Amino acid sequence: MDIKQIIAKLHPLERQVLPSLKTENKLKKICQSSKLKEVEVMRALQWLENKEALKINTEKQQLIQLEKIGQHYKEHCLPEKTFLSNLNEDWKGLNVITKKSKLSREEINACLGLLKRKQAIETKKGETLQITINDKGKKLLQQTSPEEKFLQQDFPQPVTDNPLIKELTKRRIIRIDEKKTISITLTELGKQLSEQNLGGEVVNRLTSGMLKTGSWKEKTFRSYDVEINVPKISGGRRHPYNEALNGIRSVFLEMGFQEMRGPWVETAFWGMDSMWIPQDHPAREAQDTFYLDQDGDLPEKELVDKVKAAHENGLNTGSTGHTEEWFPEVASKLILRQHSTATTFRYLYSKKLNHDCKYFYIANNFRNEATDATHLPEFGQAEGFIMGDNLSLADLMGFIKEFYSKLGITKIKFKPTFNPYTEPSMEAHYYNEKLGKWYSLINSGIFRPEALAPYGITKSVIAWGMGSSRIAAILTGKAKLKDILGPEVDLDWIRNHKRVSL
Amino acid sequence: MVIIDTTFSTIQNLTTNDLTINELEEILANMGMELDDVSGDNIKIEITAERTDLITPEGLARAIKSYKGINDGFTPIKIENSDYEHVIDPKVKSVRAQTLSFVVKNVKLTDEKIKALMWLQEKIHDTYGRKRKKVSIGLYDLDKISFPVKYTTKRPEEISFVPLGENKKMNALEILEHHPTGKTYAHLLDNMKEFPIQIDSQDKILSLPPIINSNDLGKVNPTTKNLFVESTGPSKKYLDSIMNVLASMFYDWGAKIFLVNIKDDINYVCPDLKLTNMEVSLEFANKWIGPKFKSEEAKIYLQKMGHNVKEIKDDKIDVEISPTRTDIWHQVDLADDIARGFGYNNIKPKIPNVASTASMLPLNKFNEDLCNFLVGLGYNEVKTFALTNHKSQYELMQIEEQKHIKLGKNTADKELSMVRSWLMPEVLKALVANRNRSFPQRIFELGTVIIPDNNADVKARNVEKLVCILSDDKVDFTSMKQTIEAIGQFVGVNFSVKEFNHPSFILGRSGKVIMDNEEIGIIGELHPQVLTNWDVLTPTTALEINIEKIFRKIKN
Repeated sequence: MDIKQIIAKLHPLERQVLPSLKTENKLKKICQSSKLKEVEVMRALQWLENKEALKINTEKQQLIQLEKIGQHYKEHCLPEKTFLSNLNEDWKGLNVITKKSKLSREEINACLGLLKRKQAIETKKGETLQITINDKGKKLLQQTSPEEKFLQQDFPQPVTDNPLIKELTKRRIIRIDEKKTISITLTELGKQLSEQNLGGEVVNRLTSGMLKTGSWKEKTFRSYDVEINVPKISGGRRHPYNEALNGIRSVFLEMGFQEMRGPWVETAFWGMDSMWIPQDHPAREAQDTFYLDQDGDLPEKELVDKVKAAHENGLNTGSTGHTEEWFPEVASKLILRQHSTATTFRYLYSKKLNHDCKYFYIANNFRNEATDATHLPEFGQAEGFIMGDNLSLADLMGFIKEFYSKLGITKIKFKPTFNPYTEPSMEAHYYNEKLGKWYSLINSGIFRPEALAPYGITKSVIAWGMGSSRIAAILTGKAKLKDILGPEVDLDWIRNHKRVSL
Repeated sequence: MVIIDTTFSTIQNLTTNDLTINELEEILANMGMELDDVSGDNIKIEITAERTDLITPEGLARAIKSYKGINDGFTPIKIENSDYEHVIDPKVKSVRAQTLSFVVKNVKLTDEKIKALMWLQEKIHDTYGRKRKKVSIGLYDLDKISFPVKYTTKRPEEISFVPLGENKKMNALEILEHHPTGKTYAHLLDNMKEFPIQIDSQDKILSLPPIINSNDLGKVNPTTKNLFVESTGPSKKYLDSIMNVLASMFYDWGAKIFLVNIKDDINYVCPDLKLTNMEVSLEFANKWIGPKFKSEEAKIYLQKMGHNVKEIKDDKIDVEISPTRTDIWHQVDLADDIARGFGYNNIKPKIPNVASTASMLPLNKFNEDLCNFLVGLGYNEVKTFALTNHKSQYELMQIEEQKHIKLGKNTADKELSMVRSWLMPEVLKALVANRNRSFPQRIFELGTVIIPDNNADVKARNVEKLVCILSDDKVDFTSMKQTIEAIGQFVGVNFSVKEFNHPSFILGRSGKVIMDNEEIGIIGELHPQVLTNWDVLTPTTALEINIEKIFRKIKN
């Protein structure tokens, strides 16, 4: 970068610091010379380091400092000297010495130990300890001791290997501090910058005052480093799973569908009997369905009788029926619905549908299943149906292809399957290019005549339930359901995810 | 779904050696089955629950041969006449109403075949038999049985025989109490004064259905030449199909099948190979499927799916249905078989020609607008689960239990015992899970809770609720009150807060949210004990309001 461009981007702090760098390289001196606070200088130096104008060196140094008591001893006298000067050739009791010398108990103890080691005193036991000075002691009293010499220096002092340092530290006369010294080394660029005339005053911020007075016209604005990294922000976001569901909803709406909703708690009647699922169907067993320990109400008798007949003898459809007795008690049991087709049949009945129409429902359903990464007892299903004249398997296929192509899923194949209430029953599988495998996408079919007859429906109905959780997983690129649904979903993913788009 | 374990070479031997694994996969897919797994020669095939006839490799092979055009439709099996009699005592009608049986002679059993039989018996019991409720099957050494066999009942303490796999006599009560199979299926005989038994003319007990066979008569080994095969259950129709499937299999093994005369209130024979005739209208089928098939084409596809076409008259195709097919209730089922015979993926999709106007539910529109508004206030949306437990909903929140929707005792996930009746505890779980994410955390959920409601046919109703939570080191009641007021401004309703002490919140720092004179929710700063219960380490304010009440209000 051109040096002029660099100068244009310099922050006022940097501008203020740079002239000092010509002569000074120590932080303290730079602060004095630039008349800035240490934090301001540090910020400027870091920015300049980022611009490769200088290098910041941090040097750690261990320094000896006098403790408060050390300062006192330095100015007066070390306690062992005071102790010795209070002795003579007669035996004296420790209590007398203590009183006379005015030394503290700790000091007395320290002196005793020290002077014994130096063989400067004699002691004998009596009622209290008896002490007398010897020749060595007298000599010691006359001389300046190494400790005294040490203390006469100016502090702080750098740490050396002098053994006294250890001893005096132990006696808490001195302490060792660690000190950081910050200095800088200018790079070639730094040298150039420090010698440049940085020009007149540059303005960091445009203020409303400048705008009011028009004084901005005379100012030069500092350039920003617009390429610099800035901290990340995130605002409020919708949940990716719901973004995916909204995508599904928008496809249904684009295709002309009306939206439905229905209760989570259902009678077995609406959940199963209403659509000709036989009463001994395995899906009814408690290991698959959540039963509530309660019964609900069946709809009007007229409908119940027709549904009963459809089960037992096919009503008026020409079907054999299940040829087994149908029990209203079984149909009254309350469950958490295992599929939202329950709501479809409520709509067929309550809205007396027998005309061209299209409905959809993005629903939440339940199955009695243990929770793990890929299985949840709650799952999403996008339910829907089209009612019209002579709708065929080909229409169903056409709808499925069109719907999924809008979600970007185009490689699809069809497979016959079995559902108790649709015939034909059909699955569609899509090819996952990333995983190189076919996955089931949708279960669908044409409602059986036995399922529709109780409602007097003469039109045909193609219907489906697609795994909306699966679609959400595809659209958000996550493999595990637990990563996209439930309280344990990562808040940072919600905050920072790429928008879910079709 | 039922998984069949067999080998590719078995299928090849029963069909044609030209069959490749890819061809098998394609044929199965076209018929509605799936080649689930291939490892070496072992294969797993997934069949759908209604096709009883495909559960044996022999039945599967028949279907494949028809689909490949090796056979046209199905070939009936040959049944020999006989004097064997099986008497049904009217006493069993109230216990386990029905039995059927047939006789197999000159069967060549090997260890492998016996293993296959055991597997098949258990598979039928567990799937079509609904864990023996609808069907249980027994096999016996024919040469040890004296006819007529009688299906009757006896008091449990009078039923005494050596059950399969045991070496001493036990009475029926002991069997139910001590024998492993007895313990598993004892519930099927609950509340019965007398138990069903199969017994021969010399009073030898064959079995205690649907529990266990006799060790003396019901043990089959490679030296066994002739078999007596019986089944019991509540419905004759169901047993008929299973007996036909089994008889077809033994027939395909090269054995001779002899009928048994069943002496019921009326007399009939088993296996009942009576064919079902059904007409399918070509016009109907073409409307239902899509392509315009000609009757000759439809005939071929029906034959490929194992049906015999007897006659084509104008639009009507007269179809003979094999007695092993239990999945044909109506002509739509034949129409579907035409589609399968043709191959679903050969059908040209078309867009349904149904015109209609799209509409989103007004409540959902409202909800969406509200969610997007909260995002504008800086809240992140979370999505929690509806199934939860008593501890989360009440104990940790320091509140008394309220009326709620309990799940039955049989939950697979023992952590789950109820449907949420308020939303806040569940949203707190998201806060706990994200404790290591940066603060402040502003989260919301608009979700469904379930409230008991005796006026509803399902004794409960869905209610849409909104919860907002704000958690940070520095958090105050003001920010949450600002949120509720901003929501009020957004939807055009005046909200006020009326002081109200609630045990989940700090005393004096919570209130009811009031819309005109209607209470719609609660707002407050969560109690430190509640936060501690949840292991939340930052001060937290929260609100929960009923969205449907607001929606109803603004609609009026």
